[in-house]
Amino acid sequence: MSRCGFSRFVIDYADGVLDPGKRETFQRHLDACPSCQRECAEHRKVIEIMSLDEVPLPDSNYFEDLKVRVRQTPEKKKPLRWWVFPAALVPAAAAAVFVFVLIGEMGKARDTVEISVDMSGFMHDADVSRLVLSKIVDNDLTAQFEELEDYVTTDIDENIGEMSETERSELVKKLNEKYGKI
Amino acid sequence: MNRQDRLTLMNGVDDARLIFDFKQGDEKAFDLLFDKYRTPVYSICFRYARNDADARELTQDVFIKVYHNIRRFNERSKFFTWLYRIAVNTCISFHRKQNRDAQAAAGDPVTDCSLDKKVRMKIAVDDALEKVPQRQRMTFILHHYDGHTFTEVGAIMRITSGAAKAHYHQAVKKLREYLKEWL
Repeated sequence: MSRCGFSRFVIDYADGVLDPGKRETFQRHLDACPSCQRECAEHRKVIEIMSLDEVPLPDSNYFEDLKVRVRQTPEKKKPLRWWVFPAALVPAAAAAVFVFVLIGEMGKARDTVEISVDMSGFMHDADVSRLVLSKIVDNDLTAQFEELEDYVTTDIDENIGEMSETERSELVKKLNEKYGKI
Repeated sequence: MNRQDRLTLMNGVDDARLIFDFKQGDEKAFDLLFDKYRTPVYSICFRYARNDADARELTQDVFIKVYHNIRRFNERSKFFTWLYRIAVNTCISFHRKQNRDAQAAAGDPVTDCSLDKKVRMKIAVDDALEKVPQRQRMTFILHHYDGHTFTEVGAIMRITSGAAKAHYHQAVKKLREYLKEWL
């Protein structure tokens, strides 16, 4: 990997998206830097190789059959994410719920976020429906819940691990604003 | 012209209109949405899963979710953003369920020189993409193959456009490293 300070411009330059001003400067540098020249060439080759990758599409019968199956197949129920689900109902249920988020110091060894929820019992769909019907849970709260759920929808440890410091701070800020002191 | 504009031009049909019609009970409107997006969705799933069987299963899961939830789509975002987000989340969730041991047991066919060069390169690309972290890989797929801008990728993946660009750069650097012998 190049140690040249200009190497951060290689990808944008090779992709043709570098700002015109920087492009001119980088072009001048490139003419005299074998390291960046090599990186540019390698990048273009990688893109060339990846561009050769084709998707063999199924025939149209597959898609026509799928159209029918989609209508006939009930949606798989998502598993209840207990650590998120009750948390979203905190303001509505007014239960003794504590959302506790620990985040390792940014850039240090610990990259895990833990959210523990302490409440008397889990809430199920029927309970939520009752709360919705009673207008205790409104659309706004449901939307916020969905946003939070989407945010941490898959493997939270992996997502956190891939987040930038800014994104992690934003997540903590959102949780803090919504659920109180962290 | 962005991806959505291209798709709209291609079919001459507006998603919002189709969603409205479907919500009014017009099942044909769903058929049109399905026909419009079936190829891009399948392509994303295939590029992510790297095999036809998984791509078919993922595509089915995506459209089942879309069909059952489209009435709840609140139109605060563009339909294609919502649809692609479902596709991305379905792929990433699926990835976790895969049995990686089975793949590891398959050995390393890239080194088998008896295979045709094109086949070996295809396998090398499969392996390289498999090694790139999920979200970086998905960003690469959406930007490089599907032509989405970083702003669009950010909206789909709920990250900033800057983060999308950073993911793409990381993915490219990793691919360069994993494909070194082909450069």
